[in-house]
Amino acid sequence: MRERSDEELMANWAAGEFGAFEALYERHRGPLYRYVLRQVSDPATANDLYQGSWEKVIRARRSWRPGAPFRAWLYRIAHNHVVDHFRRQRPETELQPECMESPGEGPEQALGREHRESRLKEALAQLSPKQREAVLLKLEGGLDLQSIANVLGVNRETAKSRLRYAVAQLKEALKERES
Amino acid sequence: MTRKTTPSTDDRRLSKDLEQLQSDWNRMERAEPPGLLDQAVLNTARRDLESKKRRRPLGWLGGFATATVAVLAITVVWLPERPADLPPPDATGVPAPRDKAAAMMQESAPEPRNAAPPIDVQKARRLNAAPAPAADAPALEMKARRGEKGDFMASERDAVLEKEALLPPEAWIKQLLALKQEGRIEELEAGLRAFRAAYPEHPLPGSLGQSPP
Repeated sequence: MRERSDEELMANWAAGEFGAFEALYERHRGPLYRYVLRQVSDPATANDLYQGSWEKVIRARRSWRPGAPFRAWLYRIAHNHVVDHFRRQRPETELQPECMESPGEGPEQALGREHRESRLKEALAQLSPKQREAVLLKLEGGLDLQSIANVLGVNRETAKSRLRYAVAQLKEALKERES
Repeated sequence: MTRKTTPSTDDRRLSKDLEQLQSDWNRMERAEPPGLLDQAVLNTARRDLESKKRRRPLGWLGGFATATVAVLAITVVWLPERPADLPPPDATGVPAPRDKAAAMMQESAPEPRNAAPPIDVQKARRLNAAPAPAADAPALEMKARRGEKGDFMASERDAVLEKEALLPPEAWIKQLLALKQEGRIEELEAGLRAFRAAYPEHPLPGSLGQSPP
């Protein structure tokens, strides 16, 4: 049986099919959670923001325009929710490398992890929030350049610039590990 | 002349770097939302759908109830006012719409066979102290116009009803005396019974004798 697209599931959910929402949720729960988690300072806040994002999605389901790309719509809502959180807190909060650890992971466990992974996390934490979000939309959300621009509310060139810079930084961090 | 656009070297390099980075990224630990969080989100979505479903039947029910109330309100307000919409008979004697209908019936009805005096309804209304209910007037008029002798004096009830449309006692007595002179005894007796029913206290001249039992 052919797997239904996000847009078909969204249309069915908007029409009242709960199973369609379950399928959508199952498909996007992990990437969206990590997208939020990689941007905030602690897992508890990430949980709140993740749940709040989905609640906004649920409330906004009637405003979804049939045919619009679901994934970009989902991440746009989550992006706005995270931005609101940062506005309420201190703007441009910089993440510390330890904030990138998985929830529930202690320092000792972190030490034992692959060096490559920790370097990557560290490099991600050192990016500016805008560059970090651009690369997370690509790596976790799987969005194309135009969708990233739409989610961030910037033009395509700006989105590409942020992405290029972020990728260069992460690549450099991995090179350092190899050397 | 248009030239087919191809990705720039810069774009190609970015795509290649992203592919490599994605591969490294996917090898990282994949954090997942806690199970309780999943349940909370799914419950929110389920509640949202159920509340919408519960509200849906109330939507048409509410509309139906509103329409029903509107119809009832129109019925209550409009129907009692309807008779008042009809213009009353005017003083010039031109019949109002309902009087017009009675007049049409009168024209089509046969003339009375007897010589009983015509009843002037307007005059009778003016002469009688107690005004007739508006709804009774057309029925009374139609009855008076029927002209059938048997109907006219069918019962005392009818006589009482018609008293409002009848002559004053003096004029009536004159007509009764005329009937006696002409020897129309049956009509005289019926007339006397009607007179007594209409004017029980009014004295009759001795020539008319005692009223029939």
